[in-house]
Amino acid sequence: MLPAALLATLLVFALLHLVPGDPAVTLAGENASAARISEIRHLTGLDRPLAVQYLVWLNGVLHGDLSRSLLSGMPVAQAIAEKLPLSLFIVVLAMAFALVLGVPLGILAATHTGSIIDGVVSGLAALGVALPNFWLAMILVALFAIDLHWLPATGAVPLRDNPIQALRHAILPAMALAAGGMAEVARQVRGALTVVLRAPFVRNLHAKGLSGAAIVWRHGIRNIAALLLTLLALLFNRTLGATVVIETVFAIPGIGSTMVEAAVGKDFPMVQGVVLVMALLVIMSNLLVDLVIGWIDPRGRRSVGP
Amino acid sequence: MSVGRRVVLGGAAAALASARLRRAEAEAPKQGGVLRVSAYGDITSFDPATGRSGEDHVQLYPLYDTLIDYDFTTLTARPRLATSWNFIDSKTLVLDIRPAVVFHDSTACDAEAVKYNLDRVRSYARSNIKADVDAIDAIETRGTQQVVLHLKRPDTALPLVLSDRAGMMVSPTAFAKYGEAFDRNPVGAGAMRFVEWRDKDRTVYARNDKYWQPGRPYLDGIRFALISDLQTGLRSVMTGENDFIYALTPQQMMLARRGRDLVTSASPTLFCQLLFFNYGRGPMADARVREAINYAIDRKTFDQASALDLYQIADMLLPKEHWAYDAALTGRYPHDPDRARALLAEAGYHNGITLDLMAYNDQASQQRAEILIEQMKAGGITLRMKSGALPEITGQFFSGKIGDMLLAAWTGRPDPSLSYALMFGKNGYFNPGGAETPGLEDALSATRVSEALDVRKTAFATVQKIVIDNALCAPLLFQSQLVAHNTKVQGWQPTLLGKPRFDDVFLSG
Repeated sequence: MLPAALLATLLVFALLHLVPGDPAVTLAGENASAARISEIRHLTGLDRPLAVQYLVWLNGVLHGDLSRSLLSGMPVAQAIAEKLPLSLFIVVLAMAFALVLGVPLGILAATHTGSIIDGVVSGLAALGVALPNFWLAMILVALFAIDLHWLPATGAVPLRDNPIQALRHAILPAMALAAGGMAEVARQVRGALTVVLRAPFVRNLHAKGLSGAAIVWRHGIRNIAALLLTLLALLFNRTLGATVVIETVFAIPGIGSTMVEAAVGKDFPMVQGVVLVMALLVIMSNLLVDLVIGWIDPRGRRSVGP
Repeated sequence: MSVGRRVVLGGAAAALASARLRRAEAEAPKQGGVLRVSAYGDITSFDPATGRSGEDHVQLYPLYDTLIDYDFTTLTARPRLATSWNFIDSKTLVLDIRPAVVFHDSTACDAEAVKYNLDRVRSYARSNIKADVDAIDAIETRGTQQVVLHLKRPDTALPLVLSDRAGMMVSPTAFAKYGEAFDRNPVGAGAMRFVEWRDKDRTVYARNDKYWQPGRPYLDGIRFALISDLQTGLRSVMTGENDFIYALTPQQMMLARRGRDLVTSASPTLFCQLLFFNYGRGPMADARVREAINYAIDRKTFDQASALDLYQIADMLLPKEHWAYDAALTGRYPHDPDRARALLAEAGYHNGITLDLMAYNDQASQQRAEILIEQMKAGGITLRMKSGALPEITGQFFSGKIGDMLLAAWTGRPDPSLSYALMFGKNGYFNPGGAETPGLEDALSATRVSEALDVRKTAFATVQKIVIDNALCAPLLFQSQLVAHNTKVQGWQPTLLGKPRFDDVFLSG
């Protein structure tokens, strides 16, 4: 787990240094002399060999210090601790929207294959996948914030400060983020459930006199639970990545917008800190899903050895 | 006679302004309320000496009073923390400091504090503005309310320099306490005191109850929402989440004008879009090539296409509202592609010339670059564009000496001598070729000898004529400060410097 996260930071570190530009020039101000720029380069350690810079950062990480932002001087760990909860709240809400809408739509399509309902759901799913989330975000803002004044168009409120306001601020960005996920969930559920509902054991369940709803919810969903969990992990990874754009559109001071601005300003410690935390989150979510699948499906626990 | 869009928009703006004026006349300033401003990004530092962006000022002004102020419309110097100033000889400036002023932490803002501040700006290792006060040789206090600046050379630009970062007074007690952390813990003597800064989120100020101006400030506080995307910022004002937004693009201004209950204003600024030249080498060292570039540009069309006719055409580096503007110098380079071709032929480029244009990679800069590329073709000039992020391209052009010209902007300085020295002086950072223009250094020195505005204006006319005749750059447009706010916001006045200030703002209703 840790090697994968560190590899991600190493790759990002290398990529950032491949991009032209020098943060010392930015830090030195508008009329800085070459001497002042090189002085700043020395003060910030940017004049050291790249390998040394990376190892110094890594040494700090291993001692619990993610360093300070080059641009704002703020400790990176503190910045992440402040911003990550805002992003995670939106991501979790978006995933909830995606599941709450996507699963019933998928079931509806699977139980009405070939019908108009199936066509409509498939059309909606195709639309959800095709719509760029930033465009959808602007449409939602125009409708619900500017015209109707129902929900705020910008900003975020920490959940612990005011849960109601936090929810009001998170609804539109979460809806924009959820559209693609909802479509993906509906399509996957439809596909998997259609196969399950055609299985011989389902014929037996019908013969036993179980209602359609009981068959779907008690037997069908249980059979596709592993798929749903895997989908959930993928959705989390994708939604977390999409916050980079959505947070800019909604002016949310979360982890995504922080990374964009840090990358533009070549704020290496901030970018690497955020990448490390994001990579750890993704790895941990995958691990958690694997463990849960193993727990709910005995086949996942079987040894593959001789 | 055709009525241009500028005339129509100007008329609309005038009507709006007069409507605002009538409302302001009807409503006396009132105390209370928090102004919510959409600001497009984090401040680089709350320490005026270590900040590094001209965009910081909007958040610095409420916290820090300057020694000297500038008139919003003409940029002439006027008293603030210094009640008066006087050059007793060409190298000695005496400042009388306002009595009974205290910083937010109750430290006295007296002569000792002023000396401490000016010494700090000159000697602090992290100071980015040492060059601004380079002319100061020694600082002496006389009593508690008088400071004497002994200069190395005559420098009558100094009063206006002290209306900028160098003149922003910080509490010596607070700076001693915080050191480098003062960047995030500012204590000044301004109308507002610092409450909170959350990176990429907001900065919050509260009213300074100990402020020296009676009855001021009108506001209980200011909250800057840090929204880096202007479109998002405008939406926040349209939905009523914020009260005020500045630095809109012309396209966003059109949208704001359609907004319900929004007041918009367009006002001239010093912010000049231009082509910087590296005239220290190659074909750009030939004045005829630089003149050809200037003749090849159709500024009127450029304004219409890139700024919806909302900006002012730039003949020189000062807009017509500035005290040092000289109308006699206008119209030196009308759009004349034939003349451009003839000049190139005269310089030996009979089949035209190919030059490297550096440009930023944001959408607006790319659009401007593409317009210029098309316009220059008719003058026999082919531009090869290289684009990238602002810090990268700026560093490559000015430090790395890459490219023949850079499409960028000059944000302006309170005193024009700073602009000309930085851009065209032999050692100016923004003169990448480091070439010396005959007569310019002496002409620049002459602008700093006398304090009398008419004398200085004449001296600046000479400087500007040298710059224009030698085509040391290609000025394009002066950006207008495009602002939108809701009808609650009253008393806002634009500044020619283009950096919004909220000194007179109050909230109605």
